[in-house]
Amino acid sequence: MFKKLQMTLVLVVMVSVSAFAQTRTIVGVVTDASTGETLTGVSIAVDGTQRGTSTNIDGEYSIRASSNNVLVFSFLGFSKQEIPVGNQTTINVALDQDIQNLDEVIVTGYGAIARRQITSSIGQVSSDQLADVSITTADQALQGRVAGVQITGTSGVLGAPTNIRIRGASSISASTVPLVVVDGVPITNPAGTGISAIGSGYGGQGINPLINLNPADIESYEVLKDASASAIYGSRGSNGVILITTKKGRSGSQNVSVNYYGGFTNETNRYDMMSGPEFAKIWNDALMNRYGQIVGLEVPEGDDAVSTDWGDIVAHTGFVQEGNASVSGGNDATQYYISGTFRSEEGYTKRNQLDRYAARVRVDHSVSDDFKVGLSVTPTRTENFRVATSNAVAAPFTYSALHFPNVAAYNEDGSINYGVAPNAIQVFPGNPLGNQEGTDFISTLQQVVASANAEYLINDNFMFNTDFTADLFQLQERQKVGGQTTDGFPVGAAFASNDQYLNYNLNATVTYKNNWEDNNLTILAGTSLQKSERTNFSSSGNTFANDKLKTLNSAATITGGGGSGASFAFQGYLSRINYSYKDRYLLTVTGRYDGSSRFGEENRYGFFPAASAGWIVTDEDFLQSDIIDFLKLRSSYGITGNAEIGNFPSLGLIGFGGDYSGLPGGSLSQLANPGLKWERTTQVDFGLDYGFLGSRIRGAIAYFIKDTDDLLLNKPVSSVNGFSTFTDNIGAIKNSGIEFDLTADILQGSVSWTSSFNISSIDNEVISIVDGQDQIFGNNIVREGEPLGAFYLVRYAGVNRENGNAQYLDLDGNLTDQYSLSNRVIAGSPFPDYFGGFTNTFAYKGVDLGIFFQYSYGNMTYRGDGGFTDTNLSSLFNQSTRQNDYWSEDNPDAANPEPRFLVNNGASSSTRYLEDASYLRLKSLSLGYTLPVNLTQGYTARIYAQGTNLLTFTKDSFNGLDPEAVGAGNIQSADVFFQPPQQRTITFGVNLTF
Amino acid sequence: MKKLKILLIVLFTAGFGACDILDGPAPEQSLTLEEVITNEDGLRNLLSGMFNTYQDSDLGGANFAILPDIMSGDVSWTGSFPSYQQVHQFNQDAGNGEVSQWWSNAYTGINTANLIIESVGAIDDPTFSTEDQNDILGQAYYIRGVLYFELTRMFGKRWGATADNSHPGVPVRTAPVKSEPDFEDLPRGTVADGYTRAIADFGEAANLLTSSVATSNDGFATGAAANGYLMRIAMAQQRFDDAAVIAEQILGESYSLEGNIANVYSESSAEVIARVVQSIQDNNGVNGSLSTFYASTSLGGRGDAQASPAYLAALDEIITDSQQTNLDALGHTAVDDRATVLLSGNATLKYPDGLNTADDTIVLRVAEVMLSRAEALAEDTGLNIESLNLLNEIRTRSIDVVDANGVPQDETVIEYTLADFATAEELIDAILLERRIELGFEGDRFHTLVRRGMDITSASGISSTAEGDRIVFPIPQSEIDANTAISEADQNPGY
Repeated sequence: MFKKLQMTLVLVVMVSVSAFAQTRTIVGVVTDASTGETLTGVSIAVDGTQRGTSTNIDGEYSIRASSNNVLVFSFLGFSKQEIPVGNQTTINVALDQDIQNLDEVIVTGYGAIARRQITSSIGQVSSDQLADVSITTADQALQGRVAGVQITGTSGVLGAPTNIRIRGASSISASTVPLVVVDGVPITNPAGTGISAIGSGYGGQGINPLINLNPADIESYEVLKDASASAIYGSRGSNGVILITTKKGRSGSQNVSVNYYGGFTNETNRYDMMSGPEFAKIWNDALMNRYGQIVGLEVPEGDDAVSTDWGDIVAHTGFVQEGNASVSGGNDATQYYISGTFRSEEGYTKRNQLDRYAARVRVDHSVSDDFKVGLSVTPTRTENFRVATSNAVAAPFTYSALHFPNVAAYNEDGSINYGVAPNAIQVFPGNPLGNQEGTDFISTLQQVVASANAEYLINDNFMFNTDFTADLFQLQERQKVGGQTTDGFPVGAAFASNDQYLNYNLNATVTYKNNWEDNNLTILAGTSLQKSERTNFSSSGNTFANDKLKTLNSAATITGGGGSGASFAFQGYLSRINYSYKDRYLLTVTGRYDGSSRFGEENRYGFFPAASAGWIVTDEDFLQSDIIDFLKLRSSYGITGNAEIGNFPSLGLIGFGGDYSGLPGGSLSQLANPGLKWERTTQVDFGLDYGFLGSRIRGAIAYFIKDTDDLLLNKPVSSVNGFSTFTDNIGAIKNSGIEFDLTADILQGSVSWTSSFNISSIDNEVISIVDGQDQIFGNNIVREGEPLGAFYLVRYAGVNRENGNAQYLDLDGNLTDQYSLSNRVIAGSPFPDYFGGFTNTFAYKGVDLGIFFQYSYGNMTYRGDGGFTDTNLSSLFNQSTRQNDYWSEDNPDAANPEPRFLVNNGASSSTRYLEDASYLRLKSLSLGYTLPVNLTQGYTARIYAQGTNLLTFTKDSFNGLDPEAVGAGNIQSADVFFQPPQQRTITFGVNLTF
Repeated sequence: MKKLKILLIVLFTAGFGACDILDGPAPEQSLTLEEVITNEDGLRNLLSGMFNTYQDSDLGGANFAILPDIMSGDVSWTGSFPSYQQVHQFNQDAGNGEVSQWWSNAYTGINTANLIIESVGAIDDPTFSTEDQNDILGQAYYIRGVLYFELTRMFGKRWGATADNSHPGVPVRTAPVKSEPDFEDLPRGTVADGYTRAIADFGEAANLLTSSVATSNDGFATGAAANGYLMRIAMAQQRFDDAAVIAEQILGESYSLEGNIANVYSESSAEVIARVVQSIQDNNGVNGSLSTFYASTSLGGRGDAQASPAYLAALDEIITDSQQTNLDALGHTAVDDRATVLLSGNATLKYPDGLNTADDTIVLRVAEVMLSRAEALAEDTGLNIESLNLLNEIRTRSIDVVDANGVPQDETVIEYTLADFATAEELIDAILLERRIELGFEGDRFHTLVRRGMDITSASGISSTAEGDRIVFPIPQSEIDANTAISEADQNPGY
């Protein structure tokens, strides 16, 4: 197969070497038709060739063309114009403004294409839509903006990863996160599982791998949703692809931009926990209910009992600021973009901080008319002072909710009170405040991405492109827990680790472009190589002389150390043919022959083809209408893969590192499966792009069916075999859905109002799994015919009014006091019925207002933390104030069962903790004012106020911290445990452009 | 010129695609089966890997001791882990993590043992001596025996619950799983099957292995340890004559009762016949170590598991009323190291390393063998002087008699005499009391109660007979879900 491809490539190149024609120089000026002002940076291409230039600061251009050529003038925000050269030597052009941006160029994998020519489903978000929103990581910007793309924040600590799904969850055990490609380079993850978290989980989900990508440097995001768009990424396209394009310089006047904002961060929610007296009462009642007599464990009760709100103590109002300055510009030959950004952000939890220093230099230079080179260097450093999350005693947000409230946080002299609560049973040493103050956890991420590219115009028809990128990434983590913390008690402990990734990527493509009569043809062929290597080492120790000593040199005992390495490689041969007839019948054929070191010997390479077609109906004579001015029907079909299956899943392995008594030990860790390969997705897509009333109303509708089979499944096997699971390509899952988006310019003129709305509805269904056997993971089930990870729980039925017992429903729906796992039923879906976003922007004179809502409806969340906070004191943790209403003979209608000291009465997993997490969130609100130009004399200045996560509406029955919170993994993604909620920010800023 | 350029470009584009970079990456922390099962060293690696599984918190590292203890009534549980809390209240369900991990990890260890047992004879290596082959085989048989014994006695009702012991036990598998076609869904065997397997494995191990204090303290199996389990099985099967004989044989080995009981818990004890080794760098960490649960918070533990009021009351009964009267007459006091040196408040000091969680599990020691022989002889022959002497030896090791100034005095006053017992049963009661105190927090009491058919009252207040449903673990739900040969109908009664 490989040999054949090489041959085709050679042939394609050879065929056309002979086409040369007589050319002369054409000059001219390009202006804005509505204002008459000259336009800088308008691109001028010789149609059917790859020859092109752009206008200078005075709107002038010069290009070589022959008399049978057509010049194509295009510029962002303006309609394209095509002008035959004929015998002209001067061609002046006035461009009309274009609302729908049909001629805007959209980045696709290994190329770009005008919007009107697109035959696949691609969502786009440009930087101006995202300006000024205070986001910590770049992926947050996409939330709610693109139909079919569901993004949720895993937690509200700084640098937390997000959970991204494009067109549903299409895997059970491999990654469901999309491939992220920044300027042509796939972002890799050491674990080989896509862009999920990196670094220490620290109780929660680690660090966002995009933490070093500076949002201020991003020009646009393109989301490749269907197979036709993503097949060019072959075995990595199944989960969709997010292309991130960074800013570059344009020829024309020098542009200096300075932006700054500063503001405040708060938590969006916090649990309302019992006060000291409330807790003392339930504690003492629980003891009496259990033992029927005074047993000596009772604590002082009454209003004057000690009461501490630990949540108040660990939280504060944080301060956030970001400053950014950039200079860009250039002339015909050389363009540059230089920027620097500093961000400093305090989370709402004390001692949670993130500082990022990012710089970027990009230079593009034309060596000659035919030969261009470019270089970009992006060094970034992020220091993340972290706090633990979720299931860790060290997590301030978790432990502050659970710790006994009837003990003082501070001594009278203001020092931290490490004394124990009067409750005779103390679960852990340490308290939330001591843990927070006594812990230092700093993750430092340093990254340099260096990229060089060259573009060579072989002749009018052939263009050669190549780029090479090296991405060096280092993550250093240092933790020190003092002697008074739970984890460091009693002599302190420290941990340090260092990860280094080297990721390099090489692309080379040849593009052939030609047109004749009404035919337009572009052929791309090329190869792509990627290799990623990771090394890690770590060490830990304890026994420190003083809490101020932080490094392992001061540890008397070294308790552990380790080192590991991992690597993987991808090699692909890709091709894409774009053909159009009369610019209205469009066809795209894509294929990639893709191989990876991850696939088994028997399936090292796979072929991933796709085809799509489009028809611009409004270009036909029969549909000439004043109302409908653009209508395109499109459809695609193709196959993509998911290669995020781990690095060596096919090999039979004996894993080392499980040693005993100082002797090296190896254990069978994985059984061989030489046929193991990628998961395969076959996707059909039908779409319609529309524009009405002069494109004041525009948008798209798409329907898709995404069938994924060869699912990599850890199929459960009888543990008697020595393994609990075996990995194989079995199983199938189906996502189908509808995406709709609509943008309307409701008011134009002095008062403008644009409204954008998107909604998606995705049906997720497990089609087949091993032998049709249910697989149960905690509270979630994988069952044929049900959505992936449907909730599988015993139905809680409130309180038995007679005796205060928790009661449940058995399979027949009868009440029972007996809890039994055999009474579990399907209790809900983790997926929303629909989700999306709603944006409104207003402008009047210099004032602009933006309001953005995000919503999700019908998804259930299992609140695992409820099993701690809402247990009528089945376990020894502080309880939510809801638990004040518990059963007793005097209060038989209570909402909660009778508390019985250390006796589980209703705290087992059940629908008691399953809640509808539908929500509507005011994600961002901004109000700005641009100073009048006559006041600012030549530069523009805007001041604004902006808020994120200002309001959240949930159902009354929802008791969780954050409806957005997600758990770990594909199947238990809606099983949450004390994920800190999203932060609310309010910032004030200024934009200056000179 | 142009053609040359094009040629160069084509060569470049296609050319770098030709270098195959896909064969480069290889696992860096693993080897393939073929690379490992080639020589003695490889088998030794697997052997360490098998012990590493056994070392895990879910098995020998903690739960084999602590779960029976928190069910026994002598240890109360106040910790936050719901899985332990459930077991403490005999309220565990089929999804209980401790129960499920006990099951699945035990079979992981069994599979490695099966693989080793199959591979030893198959390796063609002239330098692989018979002694080394016997050692490796013996270690594998030992671990397999331990795991089948611990599975059978927790997932099946006690020996004797049915006349022919045909009541359900666990699946017994002796062939290794090396690749997918080896998978098989096996039904539950009987309790008799499990015991038969364990007896055969320990018999092999006892024949193949030598015994030394050093090997025991390194955490590996010895012939004496294998015999120790044969003795335990004989006790559980009420074959007291056999138990007495095996015990005598073990006591003839090089192990000896430590003079000071505190030394038992050092890493170089002469008394310990079997232990699970943990070290500062290689242990189960803060969420699964004995010290995590047993050590008080002042030692860096969590103090989750503590001596129950019932245990403390039993400790008070160690000195009989008549012995106390005699002590009082002399103006002397008895001080029991097991209540002072090994207990602080309600917390045992047998696992004090809360800081590094590196305490070993004591699996079998000379004191248990002596007390078992004493009990077996009394059962077999009635009142006898040897049982009495063994009992007194254990007592006087820990109990010191001192005068008002703390000066040590003659200890005969706290020794039992034959005149103290009217019947063999009274002697056996005294032996069982001594055993309860001596082996407290070492995972013994629960099994002693069950094998003797005595009622059990957990420190949570929940009671059961020795044949009660809820003191038998449920077959894990995950096993029932995945195994076509075990259905809900095969679940233990009461779940």
